[in-house]
Amino acid sequence: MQSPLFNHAEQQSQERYVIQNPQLLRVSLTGHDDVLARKGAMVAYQGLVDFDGEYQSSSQRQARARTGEGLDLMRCSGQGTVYFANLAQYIHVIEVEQEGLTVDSSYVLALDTSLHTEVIAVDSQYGVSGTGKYQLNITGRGKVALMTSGQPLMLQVTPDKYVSADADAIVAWSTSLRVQMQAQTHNSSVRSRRGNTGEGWELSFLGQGFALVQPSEIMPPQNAVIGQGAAAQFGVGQHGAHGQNQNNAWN
Amino acid sequence: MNQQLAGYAPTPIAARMENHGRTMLKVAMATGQDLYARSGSMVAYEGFISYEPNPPAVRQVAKEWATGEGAPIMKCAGDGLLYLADYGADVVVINLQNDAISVNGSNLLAFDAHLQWGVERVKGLAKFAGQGLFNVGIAGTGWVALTSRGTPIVVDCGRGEDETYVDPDALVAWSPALKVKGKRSFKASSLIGRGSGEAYQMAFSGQGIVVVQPSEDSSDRLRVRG
Repeated sequence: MQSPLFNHAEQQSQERYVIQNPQLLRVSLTGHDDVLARKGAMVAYQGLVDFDGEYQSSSQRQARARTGEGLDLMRCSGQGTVYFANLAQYIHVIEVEQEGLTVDSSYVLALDTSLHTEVIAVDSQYGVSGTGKYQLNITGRGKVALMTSGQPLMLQVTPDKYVSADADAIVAWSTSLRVQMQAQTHNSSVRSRRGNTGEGWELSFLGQGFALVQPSEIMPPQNAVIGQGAAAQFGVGQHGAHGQNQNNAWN
Repeated sequence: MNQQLAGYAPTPIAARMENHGRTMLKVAMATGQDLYARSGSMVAYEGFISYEPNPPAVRQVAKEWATGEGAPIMKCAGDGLLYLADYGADVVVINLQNDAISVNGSNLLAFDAHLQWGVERVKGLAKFAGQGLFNVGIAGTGWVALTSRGTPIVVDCGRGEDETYVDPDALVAWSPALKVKGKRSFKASSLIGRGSGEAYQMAFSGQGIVVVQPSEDSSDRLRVRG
C-alpha cells in the first residue's frame, strides 16, 4: 500500500507534550503523572490508559453554574500515549510560569495535574453581559494545552504600549497584566443613531506580559461532550456531538 | 518563555497591510491614513485607534448597500497596529497601483480610505445567487484586503480566447475591465430530478483576473452575528 497518507506517521519523542501536527496533541503518559483533559477530547490512544471523570468540588460546581466558567475534565492515567484534538482547532502548549495564566475556560484542551485553576472576574466598572466577564486563572508549575480557531496572534505587552483585543477573540493572557474592560463609544451616536461599529467590549491590557488572540470571534465548540442516553453514547441524536455543538463555527 | 507561542508574535512592519498567518490582517495605522474596515472585524490593536460607525461619507457612497441598515463599514483612524479577521477566513492583501477591482460585498475586509469606491449592483444573473447582491468597486493606488474561505485561485482571463465561467457563490472579486455575462445551464433534465446543481454561472471575457474561493459559502458572517 502506498499513499502520501503514510507521511503522517507518529512523532517519535520522549517528551510529555508533543504537537503531532498543529491540530493534534500527543501526550505520553509513560513514566509521567496523569494528565487532565477536556472531556471527550481523546481521539486515539495506545497502551493501557484509563479515562475517568475528574471530581469537581461543590465550590467548583457552584462557580461553574454561576459564571459559566470552569472545566469539565477527565483524568487520563496509565501507561501509553494519548492523542487529543477538538474539531481541528489549533493547539498550543504553554508553560505556566510563576506569573500565572488567565484563559477562557472553553479554550483549554489539557493540563497538568499540578496546576491549580480558579474562576475570577475581570473587573469593569459595569456589569458586562457576554463573554469575557469571568475567566479561569491557572497557577502553579506545569503545562497547559490551549486551542485557538485558526493561527493566533501573540501580542507582547510592555509598559510603553497600549494593547487592546476584542473580548470575543481573546484567548489567554498573563495574569500579571492589568486588564480593563472597555467599549468605544462615539459622541455622534448620542446625537443621531447611525448604526454601530459592531465592536462590543474590548479588553485593554497594561503591564508586562503577553496576550493571545485568535483570528475569529466565534467561541470554540462549547461542551463538546456527549450527552445522556444510549443514543448519545454513540454520538447521535440531539445529545450527540452534533446536537451539543449548535451555534458555533462548525455548524 | 512560551517558545511555542513566540512564533506567533507579529513580524516587523514592512508595508501598510500584511498578513499575520493566513487568517489575520495587520494594518499599520498612522494619523491621516484612515482605513475603512468591515464592522466587527477588529480582533486586536496596539496604540490608539478609534472607530467611527458608518460615517456620513460612507452613507453617501453606500446607500444602496444593505438597504435600511447603513453600510456595514466603519472608519478606523489613529496611530498604531490594527488586527482584523473575519471568522477565520483566509485574508488576501492586494496593492492597487492605479488599478481597479470589483469585490463581492461580503468578501471585503478593509481598504484605504483615500481610494475611490462605490457600491454597484451586480447585473445579470448573479443577483439570484444568495448574498452576492452588492459589489464594491475600488480604484486608485492603495491597499485592499479581501477574505476568502479557503486558499483562493486567481484565474487569468487574458490568456485565452475562451470565456471563464465561475459559480457566483464562489466568486470573490474580479477586474472591472472584464466583460461579465450570465450563463444559464438549466436543462429540462433538472425538471425531472436530474439537475447538476449548477444552474447558473457568470462568464468573464477580456483582459483581467477573477478571484475564486474554494467554497460556495458566500454568507456574510460578520453580518449574521448582528
